[in-house]
Amino acid sequence: MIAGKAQGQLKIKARRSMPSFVEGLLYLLPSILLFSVFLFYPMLKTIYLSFFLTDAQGNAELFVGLEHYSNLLQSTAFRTSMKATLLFVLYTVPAGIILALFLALLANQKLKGIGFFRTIFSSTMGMSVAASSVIWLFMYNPAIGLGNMMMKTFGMSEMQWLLSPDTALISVAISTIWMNTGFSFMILLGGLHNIDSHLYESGKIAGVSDFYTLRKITLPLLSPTLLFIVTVSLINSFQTFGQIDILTKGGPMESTNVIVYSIYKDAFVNFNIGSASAQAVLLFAFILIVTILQFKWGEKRVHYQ
Amino acid sequence: MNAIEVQSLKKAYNAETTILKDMDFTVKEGEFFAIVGPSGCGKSTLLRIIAGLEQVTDGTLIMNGQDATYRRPDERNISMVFQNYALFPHMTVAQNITFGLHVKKISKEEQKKRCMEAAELLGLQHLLERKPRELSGGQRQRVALGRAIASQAPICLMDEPLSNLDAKLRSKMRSEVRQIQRRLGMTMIYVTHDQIEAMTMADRMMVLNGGDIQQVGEPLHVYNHPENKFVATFIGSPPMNMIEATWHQQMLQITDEWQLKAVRTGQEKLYVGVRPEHIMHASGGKPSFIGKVEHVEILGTETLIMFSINGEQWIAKWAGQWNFEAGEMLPLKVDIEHLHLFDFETEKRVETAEVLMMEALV
Amino acid sequence: MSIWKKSFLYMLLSVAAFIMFFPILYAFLISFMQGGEVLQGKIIPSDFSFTNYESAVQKVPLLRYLWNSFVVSTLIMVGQVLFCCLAAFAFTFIQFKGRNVLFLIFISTMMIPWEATMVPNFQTVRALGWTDTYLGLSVPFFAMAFGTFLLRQQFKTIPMEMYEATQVAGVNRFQFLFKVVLPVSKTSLVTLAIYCFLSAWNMYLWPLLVTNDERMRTVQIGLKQMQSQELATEWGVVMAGVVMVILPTLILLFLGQKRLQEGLTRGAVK
Repeated sequence: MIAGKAQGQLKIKARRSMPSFVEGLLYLLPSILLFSVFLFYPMLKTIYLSFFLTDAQGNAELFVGLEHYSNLLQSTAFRTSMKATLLFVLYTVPAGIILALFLALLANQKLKGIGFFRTIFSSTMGMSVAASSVIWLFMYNPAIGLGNMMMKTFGMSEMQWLLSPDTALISVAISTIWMNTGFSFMILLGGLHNIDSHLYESGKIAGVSDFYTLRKITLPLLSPTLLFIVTVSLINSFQTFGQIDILTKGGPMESTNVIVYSIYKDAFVNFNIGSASAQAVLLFAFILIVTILQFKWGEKRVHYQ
Repeated sequence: MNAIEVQSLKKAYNAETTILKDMDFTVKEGEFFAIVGPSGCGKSTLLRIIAGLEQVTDGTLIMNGQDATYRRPDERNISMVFQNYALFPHMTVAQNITFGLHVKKISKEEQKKRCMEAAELLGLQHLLERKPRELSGGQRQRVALGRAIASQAPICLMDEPLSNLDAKLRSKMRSEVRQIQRRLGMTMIYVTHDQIEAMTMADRMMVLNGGDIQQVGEPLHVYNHPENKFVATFIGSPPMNMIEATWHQQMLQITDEWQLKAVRTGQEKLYVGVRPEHIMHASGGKPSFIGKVEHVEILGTETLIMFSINGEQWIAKWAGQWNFEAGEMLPLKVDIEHLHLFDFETEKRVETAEVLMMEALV
Repeated sequence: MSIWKKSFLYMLLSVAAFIMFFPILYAFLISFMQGGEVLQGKIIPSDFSFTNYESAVQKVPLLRYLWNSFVVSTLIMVGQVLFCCLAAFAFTFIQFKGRNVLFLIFISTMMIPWEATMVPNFQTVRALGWTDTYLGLSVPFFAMAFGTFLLRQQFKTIPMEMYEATQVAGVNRFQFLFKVVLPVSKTSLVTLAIYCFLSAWNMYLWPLLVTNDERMRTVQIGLKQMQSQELATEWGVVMAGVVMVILPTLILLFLGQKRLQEGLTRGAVK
């Protein structure tokens, strides 16, 4: 009797669906597989290659230890590249977010036809980097572009825009801010929508000014969204490539040779894959540190509803 | 025949947190069995174990005469109604009612027939093509019931199904659920924190606290003979009044003036409980004690009088409308057969006759 | 709101809209101009003829590029949504040991800049013989942490009771995913799909690396080619190309703007 019962239980247990661990992994398998092949493995490979001299195909040939890194840190080219990257981040991220925030606040009003404006403000999200860059390339054309036409209209002297090392990076930054505004705008507007309207109403009842409401209610409650968009913008900004490739190709005089472009050139033009890998590792480390710092710093200042 | 037998069932998440301690009880076929207790007492966990949504740590669960301890939920031949109804927002009422029937290889015609029957029983015929979001709370509740009915499972489990409805609708649904259960002859296991639901609907009820069975029995029996102090105060609204009493020579002394002759004495104190409706005005006769009125709530058909006795706040419930000023001294009387005594240590019921002389007040 | 404040807001909105939209409008206008007009610095073309569009299509295989981009973007979109659904489902509805650790690993992949992996990835794709194929252009992007995260946030809003109800009814987990979870999450799925399509359509560096064959180029690379080659002086034709490239995504964006905005924010914040 007892044996029979035990047997019955065993049978039932055996018939039960597969263990949830196996089932869970089965659902995750496609993603895990791809992450392994196209993210974890290449990341490790990049780190590995950064310690080697390679042939043009990227096969490791000679172990050189940290030589690539020390060479990089001593080379003026790399320092210029780092400087360009940091300046570029500095130019694009704060200005881009402030612009997007301004537009989002403007478009968050309850007005007739506001949907039209929202669509316009988010339109650059549908613009590819290549298309946007081609348009800006034309606008920056010193002879026939709109940039100098406007300068002339306002009675200012013409500028060389992308052709001068002094203004090239700023010019690329301006076009980048424009390209990124759509996405930031959309995220921030969504964040504004999520703020409970009762909170505004209680502000209204208290009779506080619009500016006070913005400072004391809107921005604190928007802070999680702001943190998200700052993080995303920072990471994107570090990874800028397309606009550089089309607008300046890193020039003039390396003034726009940001790090990703430098990696690309070393790897696929100069075939110096070891050095390119070392730069990639530094980029990774850099982004990691910035993100962690940002969350450490941000978490304290962010108010979750 | 027993629909469900629970034998020394235990549930623990780890060594420290035991949810259910060694439970034994049975539910008869066709019975409305209510499980009632405060939140966190383990009643929902117990129901989910019966449903097969959670695994037991130890013990056996027998359903319809077969060991079902390790069966999958769908092999247990049950239906379940959830607190938030678990209606699928993208499906119509009809689709929601017949959900899952295709798995049991039930033909389209049969599904339709069952759906119509359930809808008719619940008055949902005109809503079959609607989506859940177009329904009121009560209608959603009915759809959830409809799914249970259409499954024709002999055992139906309900987890606080009425708690999201407003008071008026809730009392209407109470009688509706009860009638449907009787008409279809289902075995119902009904979990609630609301003792009124348990009292009014159940054939038998089980009071749980802290993962332990406190008492199982017919609602009136539980009300009139609570097994322990917890059951006494948990069942009944307003709750039973409770006070500590001490032995004093041959007397059980409740307050300075309220003393009862005892047939035996003990070292320990006792808890003395009185239901609010058993405290009466001592009109003319000798009062048991004097209460100082603190607050009066006149509810129309009845009046609740809050008063203090030895620093405890007690409540009396009188029929009709009464008005007293706060601070007024009221002479009050309680018949000895209406006293409930509980051991001070174990808090278990002590039969009044074993302790007190039944005939006389002092 | 007072009439003054209202008019002020409308004015501000209009100015901002004009500035933001101007580059797109400008490209559109230039695309109708002949060489001479462009050099004169005109803003409004003298007439709206489609000759630039015709020559853009003739001089580079722009239609072929558009088709390639469409295929690649659709593949990536379908792959990403599918993989993200499966992963997010496991992270929400299947309890198993190590789930949280795995989820953390998933999320942390967002920190790895894609460019840091491009050299070995290029080698892998070359070794697989996937250069100049749709597979090489799309498969590396199928797994996506952000999408998994976004969908998990959505799936978590589905009450556990719904899953339990399906268990009681005997519907298995896989059917639960397709019959309940996905239909209920339609909005989020559409959001993610639009986002994936837009990002894939706008991809630049990867197609540049893995396509050499003229016939396999995507539209973004085609555009760069068009601009840097002999057409450099024929701005009207280049802009005609630009307009043809941005039109599909702009239309998609305008149609899905509201959804995208709601869906993306939900994933970003909560």
